[in-house]
Amino acid sequence: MGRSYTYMIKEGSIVLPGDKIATTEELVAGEGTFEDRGDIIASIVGKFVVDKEKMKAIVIPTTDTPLILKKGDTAICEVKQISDSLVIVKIVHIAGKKRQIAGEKDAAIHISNISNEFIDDIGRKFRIGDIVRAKIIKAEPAIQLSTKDKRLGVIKAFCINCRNPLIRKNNLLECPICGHIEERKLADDYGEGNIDRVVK
Amino acid sequence: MLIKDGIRIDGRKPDELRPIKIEAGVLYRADGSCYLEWGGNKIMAAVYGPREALPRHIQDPTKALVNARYSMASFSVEERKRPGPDRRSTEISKVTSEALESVIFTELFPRTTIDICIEVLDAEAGTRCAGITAAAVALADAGIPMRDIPVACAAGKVDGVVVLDLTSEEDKEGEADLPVAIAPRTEEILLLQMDGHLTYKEFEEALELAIKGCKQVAKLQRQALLNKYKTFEVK
Repeated sequence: MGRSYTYMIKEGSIVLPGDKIATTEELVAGEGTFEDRGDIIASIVGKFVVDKEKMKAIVIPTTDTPLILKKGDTAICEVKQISDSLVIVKIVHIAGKKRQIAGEKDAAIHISNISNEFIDDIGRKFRIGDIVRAKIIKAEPAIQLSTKDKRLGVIKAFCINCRNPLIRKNNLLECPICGHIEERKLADDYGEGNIDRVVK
Repeated sequence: MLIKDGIRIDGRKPDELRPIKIEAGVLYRADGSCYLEWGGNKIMAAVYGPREALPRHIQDPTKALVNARYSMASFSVEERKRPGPDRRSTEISKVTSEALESVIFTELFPRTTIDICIEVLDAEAGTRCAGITAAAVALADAGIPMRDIPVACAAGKVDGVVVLDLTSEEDKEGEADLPVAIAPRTEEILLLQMDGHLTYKEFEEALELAIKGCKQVAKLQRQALLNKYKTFEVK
């Protein structure tokens, strides 16, 4: 061990789709590669590296990649439906990403994941049409979101009477047209439009 | 007389390609893009997605749809072309979609669509081959997993001679045109069409010549992608 081993292609070089990297006797096909008749072949443009622990061939993309939702991403969503214990949202954007989402966009926030306090009425935390910043806590088999953080929650809401954008007044929201007062689970930067703010 | 002393109308030998220039990643808003010049052809290809397929009933829960759209600009030919889809471009869109779909790992992106726009800005015979070649580079630039980078090239018969990569005069006056798309690693044929007449022997000769041409073009595609990405640091 400790000696460097030469595969079909030198480790660290840039490979293109269809390039033979190694054989299946040497390595296991990992991310960005596939197996074909005993060879490991790159499927994307990227840098070839070897995971020494698992003896896995991996191609790390150098291009932009399709946007697949994963645990830990910060999602911007629109509230579609509310039930007693669930808020159903549609994810419209991932903070810091340019591309459109590939795949399922519907997600759920369970009442237990909204905030750390006790919630009596879910309708006082979210309303249909609200724009929410939430974190993905589970991506498979269905997307589960959480807003348990002061940076997470509603970033824009509309008056239930006249649909005007609401303005923040301390910890409540007020309609500038009809004066209606509403309650929400607010993010600390409500109304500032920071859709690319990533919450770690 | 299109061939004189073994030299074609534009000064090429029968097995010679027209000059080709490929550039990857030229558009900012598309997910992947490519600009290609092939003889008198100028082609722009853009890739979007994988993204949600709409309306919902067209979604396939097992795989992504590949939807290529070939379109010619109204100023791409001598006489103004009426813009919009017609019989010819609908056919080319269909065969291009099928050729590209066979190399993409569509099963990784269920319920989505991968949209490929091929815009012919200037046309001079062999636009479908040039379109597939450009679209392939754009797909790789978009980071979409593929089994290979597909590539296309045409062969044909002019004045009784089997030649590679026809010009518009040769296409109009010649006896046959044979566009071929392949996956260069396996030499799998992704598209094969024929216009005109060839004997069985001539067909085999033309197919072999077209595959040889494809492999030359494949080298240029690789170079275009390496030019853009060899200096890039891994994100």
